[in-house]
Amino acid sequence: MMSRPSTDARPPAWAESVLRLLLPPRNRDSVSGDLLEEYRDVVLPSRGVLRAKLWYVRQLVSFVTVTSVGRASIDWMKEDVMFERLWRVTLVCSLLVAAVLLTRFLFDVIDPVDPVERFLAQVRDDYSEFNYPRRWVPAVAVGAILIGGGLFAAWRTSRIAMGTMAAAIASAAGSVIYVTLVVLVNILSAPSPDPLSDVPAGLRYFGNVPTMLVPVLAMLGILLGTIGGLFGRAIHVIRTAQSHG
Amino acid sequence: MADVLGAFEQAVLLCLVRPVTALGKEAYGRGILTEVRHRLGREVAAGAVYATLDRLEQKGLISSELEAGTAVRAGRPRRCYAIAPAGVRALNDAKAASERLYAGMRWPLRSPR
Repeated sequence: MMSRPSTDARPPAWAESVLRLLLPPRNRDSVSGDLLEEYRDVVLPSRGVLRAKLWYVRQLVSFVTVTSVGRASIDWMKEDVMFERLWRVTLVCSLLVAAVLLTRFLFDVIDPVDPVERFLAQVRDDYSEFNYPRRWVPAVAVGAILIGGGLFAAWRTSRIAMGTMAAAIASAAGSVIYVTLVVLVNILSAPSPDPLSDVPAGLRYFGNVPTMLVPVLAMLGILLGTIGGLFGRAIHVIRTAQSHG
Repeated sequence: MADVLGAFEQAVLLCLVRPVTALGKEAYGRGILTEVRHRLGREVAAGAVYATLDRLEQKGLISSELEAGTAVRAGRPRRCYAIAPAGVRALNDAKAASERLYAGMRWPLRSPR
């Protein structure tokens, strides 16, 4: 039996939001209105709530194209205040992380440490090199940047997830910048080619490039960004309570 | 002659020339979607129909205007479409092109021996 169309029933809110995001501004109201009308008039009475919601999601999927996703991303970046804040924090933190890593790299270039010697020293339980500030200051600085970035992002957006995202992206982007520059330095500073080797001279130095740094720092960014995000969210809640009290 | 319309574009345009279903006679998105499904005899993705309507409007083959919404659509406006003279010409061209393509063929087609 067909029941009377309801004007209260709604498709999933998230699906409506995504649909509106995917549509060009001139069609947002008209197309979402058409689908809402079909949902209430025909689909919901004939299929029931669950299947009607699935129907709506299927319609949403049909709007997902490269163009619509691209446009939605650009619109979101332009219009979303949260993204604007997240973007700025992430950019600053990325550059700071890259700057710290590059500073450390420059110190290593000026005063190189033989990795074999370092390894052998650690085997002998000799960690004296960690007494040198250049060994631990960069690590502390990167940690502080990631926690600070996570804190700031979560504070400004009131979402812990934004803190995690800001720090994770910043750590990954910062380390990618660093690794890219180290690769360039390796290529540009490579000695003359070894006639006995088939490998181009610059590429032999890729073994020195810390590519694993990118995923390791990204994981660290997630962890520290979440910690910072928890503090940022707490600050947001406290300040909001103070302003209302 | 301009670009020949694709089959789906023709189906959408034909809905605006002569709708068969009751809902199709209301030439807004939902009505056109229902009409295209009816005309093609299969399920049609809403996104494909709206993308085609946008494309046809950009080509100047149809025009549209907003009309007030109703309660069942939460007051959201309807975009009503009408075929433009260029759209009618494009349909005629498409039909002529199709007829030229099949000219001299005996119907139904048989596999060559």
